[in-house]
Amino acid sequence: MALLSLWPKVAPSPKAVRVETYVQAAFTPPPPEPVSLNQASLEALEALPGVGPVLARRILEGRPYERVEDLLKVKGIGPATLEKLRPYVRP
Amino acid sequence: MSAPRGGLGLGLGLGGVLGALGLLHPWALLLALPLLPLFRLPLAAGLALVLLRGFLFPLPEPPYGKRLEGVFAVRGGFTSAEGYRLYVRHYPPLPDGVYRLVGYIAPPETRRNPGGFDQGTWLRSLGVRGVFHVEQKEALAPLPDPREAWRRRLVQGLSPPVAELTEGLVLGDKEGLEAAYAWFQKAGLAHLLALSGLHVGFLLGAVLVLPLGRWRYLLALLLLPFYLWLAGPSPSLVRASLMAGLSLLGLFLGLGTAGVLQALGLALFLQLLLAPHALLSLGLQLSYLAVLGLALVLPALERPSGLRGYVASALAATLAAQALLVPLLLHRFGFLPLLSPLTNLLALPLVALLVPLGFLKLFLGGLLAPLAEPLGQALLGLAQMGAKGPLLRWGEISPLGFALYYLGLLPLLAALHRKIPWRKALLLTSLPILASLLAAWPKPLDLHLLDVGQGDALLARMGGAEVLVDGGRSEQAEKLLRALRALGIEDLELLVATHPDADHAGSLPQVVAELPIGLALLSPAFPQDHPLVQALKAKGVPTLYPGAGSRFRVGKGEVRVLWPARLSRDENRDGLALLLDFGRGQALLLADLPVEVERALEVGPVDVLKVSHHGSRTGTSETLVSQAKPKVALIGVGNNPFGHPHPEVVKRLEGRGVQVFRTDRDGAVRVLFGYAW
Repeated sequence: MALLSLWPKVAPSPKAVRVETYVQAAFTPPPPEPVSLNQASLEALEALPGVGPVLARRILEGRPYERVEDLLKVKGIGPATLEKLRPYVRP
Repeated sequence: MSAPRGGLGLGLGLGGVLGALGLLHPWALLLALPLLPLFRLPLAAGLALVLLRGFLFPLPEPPYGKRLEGVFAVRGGFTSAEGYRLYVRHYPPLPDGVYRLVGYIAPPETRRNPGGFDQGTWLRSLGVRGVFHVEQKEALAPLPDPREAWRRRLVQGLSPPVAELTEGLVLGDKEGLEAAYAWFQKAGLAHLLALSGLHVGFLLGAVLVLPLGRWRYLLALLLLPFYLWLAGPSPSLVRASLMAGLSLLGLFLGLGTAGVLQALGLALFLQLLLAPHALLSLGLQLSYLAVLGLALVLPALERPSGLRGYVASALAATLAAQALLVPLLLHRFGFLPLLSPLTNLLALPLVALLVPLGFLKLFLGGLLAPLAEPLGQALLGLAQMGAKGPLLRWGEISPLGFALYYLGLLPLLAALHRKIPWRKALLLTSLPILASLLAAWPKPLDLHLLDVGQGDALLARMGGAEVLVDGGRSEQAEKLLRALRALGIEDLELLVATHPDADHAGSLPQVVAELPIGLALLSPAFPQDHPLVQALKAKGVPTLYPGAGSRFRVGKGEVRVLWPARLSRDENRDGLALLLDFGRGQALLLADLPVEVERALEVGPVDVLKVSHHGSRTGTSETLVSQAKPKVALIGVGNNPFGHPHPEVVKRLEGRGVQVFRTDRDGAVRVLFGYAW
């Protein structure tokens, strides 16, 4: 048994270095549920990435929204911000 | 068919273990073949029944990644959702109650570091396979605990430390003990705080002295479920209750008690039939192995009478209970208190009084507090004193190590029972010892990048001597020290701090306090009032501030300092660049050095590159990658707001066929270069 355990230590390995990782399968958390632009509370809007208290208030005041693209009419939201927000919001 | 030679209970228990093991690792069923002729039918029946139980009612895997939203009752940190029992993850932990929760189901975390906590195994031993990650919570109502009144009476009139101790001793609740629990562990007394046969024995002993004839057995039998309900079904308490219940049933029915070994086997079989996954529980393993040790060793010893007899048998009992636990305790906790026979000898009389007092207090409340208080204080004092005793330290033990230990123990046990002469036993025992010495001779040459979140911690084992380069933030110190202990590191030949940033040097003062260090290498950027410099000075560790060109022989390898060649007063730029030469491979460690420094280094080809600055765009230029031609790139990175590692850097490395490993995805990473003889 001891010789068996010695075998990997003396056997010539084809590769110069061997790498072992402690975590085999990484788990990616699911995307968050999209927030409704028309119904969400002020706090829920503030929790969106890149949205602060001021912008959240403007989004709230700009209601109602028929499509996500309607966000463009809110002051402070350009095409770049819209693309960043898109996965997190729904009308 | 002849009667089974090993006995019914033992055979069933062994069969149950093999069945439960077979459910986890099917090849383990092969172990049944050599045992089958010894135990025959009971072993086969135990194995088949537990296997059948596992196949008919498997532990289902919850849908990982599914989002959950709704009202959940959280009790003891667990909840049920869609028919699955889930562990609730929230910081700080949610107290028992009804909540509106939003979140998702994730698999449990596996071990991320050597010696790290394996949440998956722990949860599986409880029959749980999913974790509820809570993103939003709203408390709706508290969830009253019907046992609260009992608990209140138990601690009534006691000072807070003694109250926590009494809760631990009587109900097995260790939660409030904090520092005191560490004393108990280091004094070898922690088993007193896990409810087991000792506690059940005291409870039943108090009932069995009542003059009720045969009916006292029935009364004692009825008390067991009450105690299980009050204290919660921990594996060791279930074990003790099952064994006591079997004996009491035998006595009540006039059949006599079962032998300890047979009752132990039967209890194990029943417990595994109920929940095969409980085999993974550390509490169950410790509990059964301790009693098995007692049952195998104690009957073979003669007991002298009088006080000497009491002392001798108490010492023998502690040693016998530990005999089979040694490798498991060292593997899981990393140390073994050498004074434990002595502390236990002194503690047992105190516990023998405190536990029955606690039981009475459950009913009587504050009346008994003046009696319990001094006893509790004495036990706490004993644990605190005992915690200062010497510890045997050891790293993690491979399955082979476990096998060799038990193989070495077997001849000694046989000699104790006079099956073989002592001389033959010692000869047989020396074989596994020699084998383990031989197996431990070749020392690994490897580099570990430990997972300390956002930050670097690298351990190089260079054939008998170890080098630690950086250690992550100071809140990661406990994790780092546990990993070092698990890898069997007792001292560090060389401690390197590449630069004073908190995510590199933060935990090193604690490492200096804990481990002996031969020599410390610090970047010249360290100010004299830095905590690490102070800690090194306080301990008297020789410290150097090397520049480019310094070389240090360590074990079978060499550590070369490549930078700083000149100083710039910028902390990152004045960091230490190291080349670790393992003899069979080289690793280049670039700290947080910027591109200009990389250009000035003019490195040759290496096997492993520790990427500069957690994969930031400030380092790892195209030129460096083409010069160093690494096969493996390591990035020490965790959740961070800086966008490390930068996708460009990862693409640059992967574009040249470099294997990239990062601690946020892969956990700790080990690069093995070979072995040194």
